Amino acid sequence: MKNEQSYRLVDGRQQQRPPWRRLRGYAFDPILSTSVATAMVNQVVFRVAWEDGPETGNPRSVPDQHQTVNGPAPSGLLTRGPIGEYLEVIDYDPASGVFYEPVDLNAPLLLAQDGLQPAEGNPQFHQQMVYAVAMTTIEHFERALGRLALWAPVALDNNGQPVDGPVETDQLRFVQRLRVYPHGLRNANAFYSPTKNALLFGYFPAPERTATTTSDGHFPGGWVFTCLSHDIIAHETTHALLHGMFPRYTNSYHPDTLAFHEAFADLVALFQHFTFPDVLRNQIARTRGDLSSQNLLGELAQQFGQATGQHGALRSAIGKWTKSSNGTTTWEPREPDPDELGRTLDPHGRGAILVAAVFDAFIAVYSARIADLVRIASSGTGILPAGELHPDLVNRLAAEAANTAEQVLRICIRALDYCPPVDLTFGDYLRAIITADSDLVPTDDSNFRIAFIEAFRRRGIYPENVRTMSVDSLRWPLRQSMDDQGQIEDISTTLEQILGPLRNHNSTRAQYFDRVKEARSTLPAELYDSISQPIQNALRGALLLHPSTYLPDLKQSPDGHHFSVEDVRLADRIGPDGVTRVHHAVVVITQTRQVDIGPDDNDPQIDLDPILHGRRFEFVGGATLIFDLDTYELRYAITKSVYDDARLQRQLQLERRGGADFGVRSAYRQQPFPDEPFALLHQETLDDLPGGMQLNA
Amino acid sequence: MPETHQIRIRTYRHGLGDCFLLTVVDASESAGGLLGDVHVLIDCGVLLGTDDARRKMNDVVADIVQTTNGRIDVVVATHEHWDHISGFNQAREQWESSGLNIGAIWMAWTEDLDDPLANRLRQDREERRRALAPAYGFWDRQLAAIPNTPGSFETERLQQTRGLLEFFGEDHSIGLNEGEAVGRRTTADAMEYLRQRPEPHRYLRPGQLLALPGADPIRVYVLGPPRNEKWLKKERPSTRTPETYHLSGGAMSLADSFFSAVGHHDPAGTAHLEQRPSELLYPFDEAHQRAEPPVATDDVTEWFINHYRLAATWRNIDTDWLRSTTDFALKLDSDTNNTSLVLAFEIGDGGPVLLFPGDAQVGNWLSWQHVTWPEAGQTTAEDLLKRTVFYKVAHHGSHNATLEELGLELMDGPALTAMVPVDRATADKQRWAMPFEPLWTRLNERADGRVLRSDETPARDHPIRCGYTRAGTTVSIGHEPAVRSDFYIDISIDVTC
Repeated sequence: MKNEQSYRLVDGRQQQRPPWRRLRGYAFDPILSTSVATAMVNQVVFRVAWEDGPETGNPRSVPDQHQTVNGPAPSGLLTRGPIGEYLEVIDYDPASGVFYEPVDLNAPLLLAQDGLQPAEGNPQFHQQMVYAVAMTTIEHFERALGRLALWAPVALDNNGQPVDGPVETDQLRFVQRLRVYPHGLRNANAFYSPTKNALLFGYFPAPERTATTTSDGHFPGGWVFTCLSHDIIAHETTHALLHGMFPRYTNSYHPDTLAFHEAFADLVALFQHFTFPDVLRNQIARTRGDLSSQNLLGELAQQFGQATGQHGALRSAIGKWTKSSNGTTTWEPREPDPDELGRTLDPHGRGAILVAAVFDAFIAVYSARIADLVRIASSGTGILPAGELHPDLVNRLAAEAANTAEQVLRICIRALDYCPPVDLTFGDYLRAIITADSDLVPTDDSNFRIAFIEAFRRRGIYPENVRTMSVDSLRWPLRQSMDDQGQIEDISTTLEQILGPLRNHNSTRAQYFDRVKEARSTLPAELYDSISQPIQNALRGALLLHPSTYLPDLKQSPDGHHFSVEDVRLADRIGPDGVTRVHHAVVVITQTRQVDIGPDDNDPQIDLDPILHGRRFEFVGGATLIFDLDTYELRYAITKSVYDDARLQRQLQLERRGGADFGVRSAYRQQPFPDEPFALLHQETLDDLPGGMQLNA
Repeated sequence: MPETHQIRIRTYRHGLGDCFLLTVVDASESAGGLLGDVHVLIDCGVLLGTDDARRKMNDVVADIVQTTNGRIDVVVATHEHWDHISGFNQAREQWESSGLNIGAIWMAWTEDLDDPLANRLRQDREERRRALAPAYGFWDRQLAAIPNTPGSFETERLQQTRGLLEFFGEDHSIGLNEGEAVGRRTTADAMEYLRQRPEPHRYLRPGQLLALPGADPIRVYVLGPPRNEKWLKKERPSTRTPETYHLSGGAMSLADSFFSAVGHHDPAGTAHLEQRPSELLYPFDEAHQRAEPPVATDDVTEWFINHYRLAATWRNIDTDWLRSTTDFALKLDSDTNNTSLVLAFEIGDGGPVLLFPGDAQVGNWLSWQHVTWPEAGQTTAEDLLKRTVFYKVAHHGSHNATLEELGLELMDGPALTAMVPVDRATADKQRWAMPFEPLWTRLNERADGRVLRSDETPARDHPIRCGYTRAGTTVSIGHEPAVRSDFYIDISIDVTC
């Protein structure tokens, strides 16, 4: 997000723009405002990047080709809805057959009082809340990656309808805004829809009684709104952001990939809790600085969890409430169990293990950083005296927690640039984290990298084909020793030409999109020339772009190449030491093989479904190539080879057995819905719902 | 003097549905015995939409009549689903004929009209079923009105929902909501027919132990359905505590709020639903609600029409909320499966067991652990599972109707044989994973390959032959070469003790 510093008044005077738009909202969700213990900290003011209203800004003209996708709202302004640069909130409630008047955040009365006051009964506040939280989430994402965020493009035909079937690059349209429907469903569900580029939030009546919950804030028939939950909004927005970067992660054959989508969305929501100072101080004081004990910061979706018949929050990174036989509920920490990963296949369950691992890493660094403070406060014993902590100590601990949490979140987001284009595993992600952090922070004084490795190991997360669980082994191998540096220089120059102007802070997201699209069509030829045989040899068969190596079933794109460029990203970051600079171009390549699904030679016992005989299966591989724009080197090639027979056989096996269905609600059905992977996934949480609402496994 | 008992289990191969004829061959028959064979019929149905279903079911019933010489000692109806009881509708004339003689009718306690809990549960399911039909119809019409690619997520969910509703014998493919409208008989009619028959009825509860009349060595243990609502509403393992409340009465439920909204759009279809005050129907005050006019009346409606109705319509969400229909249908389907009558036939005291669990889902299975049979001393469900030599695989081999640890893993007897009543082609058409691959694999491991599917003719070079001797009891199991192997599969079990 960028913010021009000033604007000109009608009479010609220069006026400073405010850096933020201040908007009130819930730090968690409305349920915490019903309890005296948490009500005080639950109301927060979100500081959202300032977007000009019609009074102060100038609309940008929208190119015609973008019109069909993006509707009539002017670009570059925040108008009613709210509709701004990134989001368009359209409050249509199809179940009730009505819509709700859009909020105008530029109204002077709202500007003067930090927006509308939090109120469950006011739909305009709901619109403000989703806007504020989604914008905050986008901003965290952009700041960590150091570039503008793009939503997944859409392919439309001449009638403005989504293309059904194979998509050509030039059919892709820029999606200016993610659409948000705060009351789009009448159900205990909320999801990101990739096909509509939209977030759909549901609402539902709270159950009659939630006798099992410890703090019951519902009354019968009261409504629960998922669009008022910070955690749910942040989670769904993150799905959309992640999908914008990795459109192939939703249609995956590895159980980790969809689980990663879930885990990553949860991580962003969790670590955003630490940006609310009052909440943080309150919880630090309550837990006496021990953030691995039960606390609100490490838990997600309190109200939703309780309203759907659970004992506490919907999910937790640190522990869970269980009811014992004598009727009391107790909280137990979530101890690491290296075997858990092997037993857990459903995306949320599996994702929760990754979330717990990252949270463990956070706790480890935080605990090390506050050890000195605790010793000072305990006369050197390290054992704090009974009673409340001194407010100064609370403030210092909170500062360490906030700083550590921010760094962990940034590490997690930055690692995305180092992830393969398909079939991401948790092990790959650990390697991405280690590599990204090593690039930007050469000396790891706080031991973040060690903390991540240890935490992942304790949760049973190991990358494949790594000799040791050490920083050196886990870092993706460097590809500096290429023979053909002259050729690499050529492509780096091209990349610089295409991407360089994006560093100009005046370029818009639409321009950014157009540049990426241009790069997608011009780069294949450049890469074809540059990634010559020696480099291919250096990649040891993981990426083969040249004719001598084609397999007969390798798909050819219309431009005649046997690979395509799916994305090009610019990474331009300065490390915390102020010296280390990461100046990279990330080029994402995919290759596709069309494989006949035949019977399994190794397991002839399993008879192949006749309808699968002769059907084609698309086996996708590819690479994330990271070029250093300063040194003209191909720095990393993070590959999922299309020639990897073991990976192919695993996927074929899944396909023969009726598709990769990792617990996505299936109603005895055989295949998941690749076009709407989250619509059902997010109802998984509704197990054991009261009111005859329980869903099928 | 050792006694030999011969039992034959006939699995009909008429499609996706259950129909089993269990025959205890009269031991004295060969010596000119007078008592004759004892026959137990367990379910008689085939999935709605099966080609030529009426003829197939009539053929099945004709074979039953012929095989039993018109005398069925016990008719068992496990639960109210079309694929288990449709034959009582489709072959009604044969059931009514004077040549047929039934000894007794066994049903689950959940079908007992004199049981208040059963009545309440049944009424609850009936209300949910009646609410679903108009929701489905409305959804179908809404989707038809907007361009939608066949095979898309929406269409798939719609079709899936239709498949679920068809378990209740409702045919939605012809555009009619209720079977009654064209005089078709529903599952409720089939159940009612059995209830009204003059023969003695038994509504069975877990913990009961019955003798099989005329076949002394056989005792029948009733394992389910559980009397506890918690188990009845559970379809998969979970640590969370479910809670129950109902469509009618008290505060509004999720189902209530959803179906009320359907009624708001389609008043005719939901006339039977109680009217609700508006604060229970709408999440916001009337003052906040803005109806969508055909043409803009002020700048707010103009804003809405321009930004939603006319712009980027591929992003519209007019029908997405109706997908909840599928969830309610699934839930109702599972709840009905969980009312399955579960019977374990024990041959001789402490002898081998034949397990017929209907379509019991997880809650039903879990509840068996808490059942005791006072007349059978220390016998537990675990004992019965361990002694199981024949397992009728529940719910056509779906993923959530065979419990793992407290189910299949306990069936560790040396002669376990399993039968999956399924028709893969039909299941594929509905896109159901039946039999579910991991379950099929595990079944084969547990039963050492002795797993049969009703839609596959057992290979001649791969005959089922197994047996064991333990504590003076000898059991041998075999697949009998059947005269009409395309029509049924016979498995014979000889027990000498």
